[in-house]
Amino acid sequence: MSFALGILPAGLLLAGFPIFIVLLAASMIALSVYMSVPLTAVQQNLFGSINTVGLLAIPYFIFAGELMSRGTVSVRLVNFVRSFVGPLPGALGVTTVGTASIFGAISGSSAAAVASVGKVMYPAMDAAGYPKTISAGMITSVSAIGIIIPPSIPMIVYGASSETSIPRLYAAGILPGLLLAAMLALYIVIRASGSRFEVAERLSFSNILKATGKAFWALGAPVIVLGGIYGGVFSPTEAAAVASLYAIVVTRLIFRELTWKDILDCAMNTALFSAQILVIVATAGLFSWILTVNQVPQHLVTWIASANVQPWQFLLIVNVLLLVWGCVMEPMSAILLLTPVLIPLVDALGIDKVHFGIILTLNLAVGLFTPPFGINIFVAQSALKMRTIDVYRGVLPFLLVFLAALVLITYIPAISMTSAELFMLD
Amino acid sequence: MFRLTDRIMNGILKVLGMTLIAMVLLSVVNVISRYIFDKALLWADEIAVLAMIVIAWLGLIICAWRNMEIRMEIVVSALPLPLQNVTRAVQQATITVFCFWATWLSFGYVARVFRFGMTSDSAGIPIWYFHAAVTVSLTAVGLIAFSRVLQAVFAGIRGSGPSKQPKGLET
Repeated sequence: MSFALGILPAGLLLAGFPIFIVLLAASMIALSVYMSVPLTAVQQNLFGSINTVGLLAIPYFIFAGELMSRGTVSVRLVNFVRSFVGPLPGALGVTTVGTASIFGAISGSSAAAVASVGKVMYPAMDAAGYPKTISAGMITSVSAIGIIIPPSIPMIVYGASSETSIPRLYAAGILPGLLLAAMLALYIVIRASGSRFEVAERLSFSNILKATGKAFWALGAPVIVLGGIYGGVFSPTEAAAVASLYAIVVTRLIFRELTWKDILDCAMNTALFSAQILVIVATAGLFSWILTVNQVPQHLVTWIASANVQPWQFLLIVNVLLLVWGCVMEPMSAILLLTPVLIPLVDALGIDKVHFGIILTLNLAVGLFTPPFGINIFVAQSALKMRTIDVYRGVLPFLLVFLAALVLITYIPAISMTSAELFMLD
Repeated sequence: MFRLTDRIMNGILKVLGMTLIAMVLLSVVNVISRYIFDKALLWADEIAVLAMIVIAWLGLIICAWRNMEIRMEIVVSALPLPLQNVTRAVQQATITVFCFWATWLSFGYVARVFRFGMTSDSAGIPIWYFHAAVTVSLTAVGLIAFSRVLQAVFAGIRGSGPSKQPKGLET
């Protein structure tokens, strides 16, 4: 059995097979060779694993993000954030952090934030004298905040596969996301203090009013989503549907930037991207069912108990594992592959699943911009016309800030748990 | 043949895009109906979820056609080119085998659901329509992989190397 559930999938994964085939092949071999279970379980799980209302939020949030990342939403957000932080040293850098955070609260997609925010901020930072590698590294890394601040698509996937409340996960992600943004902004301010990257702008109330007016409709998206969920009006799925419709109305009827054809184009891209993820969810459901039926997680729990591993040691090992894993695999697949194995251990060690979800998401957020295969690096390379090696060099100082935040968030559970308590109204 | 298939794929994708927009509208109408008219449309969520399942499985066909399935290429891309080609041909052969095998299992299940006349809980739609999306998808992905195996074999016989595929999403 260890061949079908361990060696075979690992081998196929390394051999570059599509992840859904890795999971399907391993499951079918396990079922037909090692188990006496009717093979109808294959179809039942492939269908049943995604026959869940909660997963509807995935295509809906992707669609909202796809719509909002086109047009001038990013310019409006940049001007809005800049109007507040203009007097600070490194104001453009701080603006990048702030805009990426708000953009994350609108789209939940990190790659979209790199492309949209990067297109606006990179030329501005270049003109202000920021070194190109620093600007590119900053845009590439800070955009990863998008998957920690709700709405976060990886958190939906984690919530669905670990049976954890998605609204609670979202609430728990707010303070860690803001802490990370504050640490990144502080680093930029300290770094820029000794240099003269740009001329500071004076804080002007009329500027703030003007920029807020222009960003009003874009800022409405996170207000509707988070206000709707925590005000008890919508479920996360309904909030995602409302966000999609809101994005259609804003981009088509209010900003008048997208045509109906563009909207259909966004929907087609969303369908394709959703299919890539949902098929892995379906096959991971089958694989995880086989793991459960064969009591693999229970065996791991027994092993952990006999090895007398402490929670802090477990979290350290998991952090290292996830950081390495995140370097070579995109977050959704990593969550689907690892969650069924890790969650029983998390439960056995008495670690809160919500806290663990935030740690997992933050680790995989780091993976989005770490060499060699962080997806943000390739988006930045293409959108900013940079050499990969320059982006690699640029992200390194920001990687250290992310790692410092990861240590704090891992070993001070109060950050996530207070956030969960604070923002969950019920 | 390639162009025709490509056009069919674009047509399917357009239908899936329109389905997604319809799902969004349906979910919003459900929210409005519940809050304004105090009447929840129980079938709305069910229809939206079933449509999502169709998007997932039919979307997979287009992902396979465009080589866009999520995979980890770190090791394969480090291999010498001839070895990469061999690995990719083996991948396609393996995909063919497992997809056709799963198609067979899926077809058996769909046929049984059809015979029993099973319908969805709230909307009362025959459920085999949606289960069949899995069967159709696995068949199509198997056929696409099989055609690539044949291409690789013929290219090997001619000694010209495998034909170039569009680059997909790699992790």
